[in-house]
Amino acid sequence: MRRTRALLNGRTRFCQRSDFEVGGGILGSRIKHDCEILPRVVTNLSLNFADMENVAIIKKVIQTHIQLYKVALKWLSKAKEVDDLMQQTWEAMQDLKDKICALLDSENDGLRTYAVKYVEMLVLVNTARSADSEIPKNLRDDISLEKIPKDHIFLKAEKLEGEGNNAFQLLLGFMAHPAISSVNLMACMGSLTAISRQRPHFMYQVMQGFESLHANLPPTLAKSQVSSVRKTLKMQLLILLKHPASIDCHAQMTTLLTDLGATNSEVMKALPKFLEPIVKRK
Amino acid sequence: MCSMRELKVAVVCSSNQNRSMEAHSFLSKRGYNVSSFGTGTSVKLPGASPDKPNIYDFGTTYEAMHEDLMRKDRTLYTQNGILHMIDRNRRIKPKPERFQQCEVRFDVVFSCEERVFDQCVAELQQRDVEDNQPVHIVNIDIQDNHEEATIGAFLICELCQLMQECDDLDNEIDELLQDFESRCDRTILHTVCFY
Repeated sequence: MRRTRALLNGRTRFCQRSDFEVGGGILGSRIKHDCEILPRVVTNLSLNFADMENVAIIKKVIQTHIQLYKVALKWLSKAKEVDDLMQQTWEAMQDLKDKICALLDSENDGLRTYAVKYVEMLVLVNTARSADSEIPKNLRDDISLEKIPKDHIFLKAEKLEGEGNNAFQLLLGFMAHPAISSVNLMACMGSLTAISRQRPHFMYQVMQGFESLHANLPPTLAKSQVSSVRKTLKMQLLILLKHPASIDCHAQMTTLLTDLGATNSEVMKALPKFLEPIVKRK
Repeated sequence: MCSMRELKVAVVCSSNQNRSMEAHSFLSKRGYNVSSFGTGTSVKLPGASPDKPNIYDFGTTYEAMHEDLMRKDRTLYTQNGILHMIDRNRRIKPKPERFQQCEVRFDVVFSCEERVFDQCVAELQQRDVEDNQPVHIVNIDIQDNHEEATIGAFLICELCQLMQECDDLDNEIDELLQDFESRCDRTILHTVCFY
């Protein structure tokens, strides 16, 4: 109990990752039941983020912030009135958000990987689901743009959507960077695939990005890394091929898949069931 | 996230008998936190002829397999080393485990052939992502025979040691694998998935 109070008061700085796992765990479970403690938790996270030398803790802060950002947005979206504390908390969240996004340019390749996953969350939260969105079971209750009241006194849908679109462009740009590492390239491809499945209106842009990547793989990649990246690209395309919203991109996708060594049976297996008879007739 | 603590490693082959178990044995003797798995739908062992393999489901214990093969043809399975291998396995754990049914999280998953790598990645990608903890999947091709399994276990152990020595594996893994690949003259596949 004393530990929880210290955590909530933002007095605790974690020296080791294990400390943060325990502390973050306590706060994480508390916050689901009691959003009122959010302001203090955000302060605490910002304090720990300030210690840029402790990479393991920064990573844990990013992971925690992925959850907290969604909790905070839900909390604010349900509020009938927004007081100063709420505003300050949201501003602190935004401040930390900007710092985490900036880590896409970090010198540490691992921090860049975590930042990719963070930006993926920003895109999903700040854009609206559609009828053909494929939402993973554990994310169904997550907040997203269409759940925020249009006439909300504080949260402006247009602004949030702008942030979501900017975050998406950030990921596309990151994937196209000529000096991107192989591991981050694959993490980014996975994130863009997840975004396409959950926000199919991005499908076309993601396909364009994948096509361009295929034609211009980063020159810094070694031979085996090229094999790994091509294999990942093939897997992502096969996942997207299954999505009904990818139908307009099928010609482009099957050409790419053939170039990447996919067999006809692999492509057929990945096609949505309703398309199989049409393709077979051709 | 793999810095400042013990690396949690999985070694995966098709049947969790030869390649993954050789590496499991080798790594655990050196104190690594290691688990082993197969990705196949069933456990396959050589039989009296190539078209008659012995097939068991993943729930069968190594003990039961050992007894079954002793009963079937003790001489044959002693000569081809299968009984010796299963005897080694039953001293490590009770029965083979399927990767697709494992809910434990790892820092690194080593696969022993490309098909197994694909199956591991496909499995991890179809799971719901919970807290975005990265797991590195690394493939080293190892032929499925006793000699290659021994060499493969040695290579995996060497890689584990290098990874364990890293201050920040997520930051260093690309470079580490490149260096290792050029030294051991084997092609390594690598990707990252998230729990």
